[in-house]
Amino acid sequence: MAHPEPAGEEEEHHGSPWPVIIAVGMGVGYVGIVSASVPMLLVGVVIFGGGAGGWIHQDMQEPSSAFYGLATSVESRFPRVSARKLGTWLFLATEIMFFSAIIGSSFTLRLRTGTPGLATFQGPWATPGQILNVPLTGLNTFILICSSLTMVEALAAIERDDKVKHRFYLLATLLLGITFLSIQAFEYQHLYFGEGLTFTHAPLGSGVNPLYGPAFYAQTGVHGSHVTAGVLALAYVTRKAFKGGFTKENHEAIELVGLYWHFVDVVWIFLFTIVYLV
Amino acid sequence: MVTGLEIAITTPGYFPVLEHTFRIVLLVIMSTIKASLVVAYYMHLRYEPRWLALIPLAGLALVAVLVAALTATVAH
Repeated sequence: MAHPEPAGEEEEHHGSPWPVIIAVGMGVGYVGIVSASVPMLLVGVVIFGGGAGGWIHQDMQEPSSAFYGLATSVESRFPRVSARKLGTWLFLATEIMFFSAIIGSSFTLRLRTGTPGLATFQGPWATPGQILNVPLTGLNTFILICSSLTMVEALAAIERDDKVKHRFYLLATLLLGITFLSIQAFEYQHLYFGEGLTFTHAPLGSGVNPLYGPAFYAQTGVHGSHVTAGVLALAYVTRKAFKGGFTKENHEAIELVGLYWHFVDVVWIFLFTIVYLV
Repeated sequence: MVTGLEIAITTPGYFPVLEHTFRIVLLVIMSTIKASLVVAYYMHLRYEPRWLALIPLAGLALVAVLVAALTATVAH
């Protein structure tokens, strides 16, 4: 929701070196990946981890207030949103493109290699329920949607200054997120080792296209890694909430983590339909 | 509720009269409705300044380009 703009004297810029250190760590790690240098990649990961830890430690010491940055000194006829929220929406726009590329490439693969009659045909795609457990994943979808609802309730509670319910709903969201990941891990274990759906092969005797497995794991795995990041973010804000880090006036981090969490939910709604039901 | 209906539509034996393509279109429409509700109400986009919606819409515009390119590739 749009927040009222803070008065000028309340606006305080919290300079921090940690984002720069995180960026350096990511840069070093990236160089390690493209040059196939494991030691350099590990150095990058260590710098990144240290930067993230330092930033979290610093942020734990103070409430998270809305930050409008330079926007406060610029005349505008448009209603303003905070710099962090604008940054989060921009990030989510890039995520829309990222997931579209993953889903789009998988769908193209399906059409080109799974359509009988084409020279590139390698076998039919699995029908809904032939290999994947649709009812179990339907339950998992319901769990993820419920976690979005508890996240909304957590934000609403802190806006009413109800800290007990705020902590309860944050904890519930965290637990529901962990449950979603646990069920997905169980599903992967069953599919890979039980059914024989691997990165290179479809289950023996099923006649299913061998590219079905990699397409499935790429789409759901990328989403699962995003859920994992969301669970880590939720663990962080939940810990901060239990330390009294959010107030009725200062709780923007809850809203931003919530935006990311709901986005992950939206992506899953489409993935569930495309991967499991179509 | 919508998720339950989606599963029922794809379960053999339920709704057998639905033609395959129509079934897929129906599933896409239902998931779009679900996602739109989450974006509008859970993500508060309905209550935000209108211009903020342009940001995700810009991402979706590029998705439209991607879909058009993929469709052309597959048709070719």
